[in-house]
Amino acid sequence: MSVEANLLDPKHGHVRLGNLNPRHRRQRAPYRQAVGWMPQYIYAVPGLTTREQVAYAGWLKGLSRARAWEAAAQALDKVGLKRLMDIKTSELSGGQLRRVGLAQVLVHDPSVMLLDEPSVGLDPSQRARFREIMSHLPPNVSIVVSTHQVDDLSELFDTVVVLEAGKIRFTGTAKDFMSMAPNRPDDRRAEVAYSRVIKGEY
Amino acid sequence: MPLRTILRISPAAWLFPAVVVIAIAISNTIIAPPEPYPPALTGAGEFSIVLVAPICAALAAWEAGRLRRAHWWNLPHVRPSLYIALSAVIAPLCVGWTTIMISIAFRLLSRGVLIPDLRILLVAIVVILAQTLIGFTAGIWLPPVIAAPVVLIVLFSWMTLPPGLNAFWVRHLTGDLSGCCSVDTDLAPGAMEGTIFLALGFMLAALIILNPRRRIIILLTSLLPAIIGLALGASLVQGMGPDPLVPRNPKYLVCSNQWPKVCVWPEHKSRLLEVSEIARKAATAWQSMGISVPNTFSEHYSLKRGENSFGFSLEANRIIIANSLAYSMLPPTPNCPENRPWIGGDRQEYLNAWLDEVAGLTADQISNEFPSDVLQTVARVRRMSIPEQRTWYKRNFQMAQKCGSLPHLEVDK
Repeated sequence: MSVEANLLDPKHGHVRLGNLNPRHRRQRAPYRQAVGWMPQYIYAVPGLTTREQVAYAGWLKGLSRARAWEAAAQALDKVGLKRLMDIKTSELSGGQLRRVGLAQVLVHDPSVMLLDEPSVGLDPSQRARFREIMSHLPPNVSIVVSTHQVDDLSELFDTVVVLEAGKIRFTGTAKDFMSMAPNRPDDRRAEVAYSRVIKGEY
Repeated sequence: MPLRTILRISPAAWLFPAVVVIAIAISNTIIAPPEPYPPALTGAGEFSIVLVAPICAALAAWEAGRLRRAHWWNLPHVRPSLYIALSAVIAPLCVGWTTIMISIAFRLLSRGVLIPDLRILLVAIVVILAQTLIGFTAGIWLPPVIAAPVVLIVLFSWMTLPPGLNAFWVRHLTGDLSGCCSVDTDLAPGAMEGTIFLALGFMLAALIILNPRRRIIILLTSLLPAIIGLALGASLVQGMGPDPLVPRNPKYLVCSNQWPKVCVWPEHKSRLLEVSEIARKAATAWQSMGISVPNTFSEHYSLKRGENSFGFSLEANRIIIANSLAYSMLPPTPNCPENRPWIGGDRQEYLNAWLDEVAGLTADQISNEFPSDVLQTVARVRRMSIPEQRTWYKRNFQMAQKCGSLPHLEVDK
C-alpha cells in the first residue's frame, strides 16, 4: 500500500497509474492526486474540527483552500458525518475517526482509493455502517482494500488477491475465490477459501 | 488552514500580545543615541530578536507537533514540503515579524523617525524565518513537549551567549544588531551578509532534514549548506571589532560656509549654525594666541591635514561642544614602542583645559570636566603673557606626541 501510495519507492519494477509514473518528478504530483490512501490508523490532528481536518487533507492533496473547504463538507456528508463537522476530531469515536479517514481520501476525488484495513477494530454496527458507505462510493473509482476481514468479501469486491509473505497466492474474481469453498455456509466460505489458498489446496 | 482556524488553535495567536510587550521591554534596555538616526534606532528596536526569534522557533516546533502527532508529515502529499511547512508556521512567522516591526517602530517613533533601516529589518526577517523553520524541523523530529523547550533554550543561548565570548566574529552572526550604531558609524555590510548567509545555510539544512525519507545520506547532505553558510558568514565578519560597525560615509555630512568650515551629520543639522558660531569664536581666540587652527571641524573621523574631528550629541550644551572642539586640537596619540611608552597621554587634559579657557569657557563651566589641580595649573598659565602661554602650549603639544617623555606642564616660576 505504501508503495502504491508513493510513500515508498519500489526496490524493483514500477508502479504506474495509466501513464503516470511517480518516479518521474513531474508525474509525482498528478499521480499522488489521483491516488487516495487511507492508512490503517487514523489520528486526530490536535485542535482541528472534523471539517478542518478533512479540508486540510484536501489542501495537502493540492486543492485550493476554498475548494478543500467545500469538498470537505461534501466528503463528510458521504461518510455520514455531516452533523459532526464542527466537533473536534479528538472527540470522535474510533469508528467515526475511521470515517473521517475515508472522507480525507474522498475529499480530493481520487481515481484510485487505497484502504488499508479499513474495518479493523470496528464493532459490528460500525462495520455495517462502513460497508454501507463503501457500497455507495462512486462507481468510477477503483478501490484497493487490504483486509483480514473476509466475511463480506463477495458483497463488496470484484477481485481478490491473496498475498502471503510478499508472494501472490491467488488472484481472480471474488466469485472464483468463493467457489473454492462451495459447500460451506455463506458466512464461512471466504474464510475456508482463504485457508485453502494459504495451504495450497487449490 | 483558514485564518479563523489559525486564530483559534495556534498558541502564537494567543501569545502575540504578550510577545509584543516582552519585545518592547527588551528593546528598551538598549540605550539609543538621542539623534533620529534610523540605523541606531532600528538596531535598538531589533534587539528584541534575541528572544522573539527563539519564541517563534518554539511555537513552530509546537505547530510541527500537530502534524507529527497526526502522523501526517510522512504521508504522500501533493504540495511541496516547504510550502506545507511555511503554511504550518504562518502564525509564528507573522507574530515574529510583526513583533519585531512593532518593537522597531516603537523606537523609531520615539525620535520621530518613520523609515527603519531596511538592512537591519531584512536581517531580522531572515533570522526569524530561519529560526522558525529550524524549530519546525525540530518539532517534526522530536515530540513537541521536548522540541519546543529545547529549541527555545538552544536558540536563546545562541542569541545571547556569543557577546560573552572573546572571539568577536561569533556575535556578528546571530542577527542581534543592537551594537549598531552611533551617529558617526554605520552597519558593517559584512555583519548583514554574514548573518544572512549563516541563516540561509541553516534554513536549507533544516529543509533537507524535513525530507520524510530519513536516511543517513540526507542527514549528511544537510550538513553541507550549514557548513558553507557558517564558513561564508565567518569569513565576512572576520576582523570586526566588538560592534558590527564601519565609519559612516562622509558624503552625508552637512557643512557650513563660513570659516572655519564645520561639517555635521544630518541629524545635527538643526544645530549647525550654533556649532559654527561656537567654532568661529573658539578658532578666532586660538588663532589670536598664535595657535594654528584647521580650516575644517568635521564630525567625520578624518586623518586629513587641516581637518579636525569632533563630535557631540543632540543633547550637548555649548560647553560640551566647545570642549569637543578643543579636544580635537590635541595632538594625535603616537604609536609608541613597548619600551618607550606614551607616558604623557593622560596629562593632555591640561592642554584641553587651557584650550577651553582660551575659547571663552570659564573655570567654573569646565570644573566638571577636569580635576582641580589641572584647573589650578591652567589658571596660573592663563595669568602669563600671551607669548609665554603660546610657548607653554607649543612645548607641551610637541612633547605630548613623543614616546617616553613627560609633557612639561608646570609653570616655570
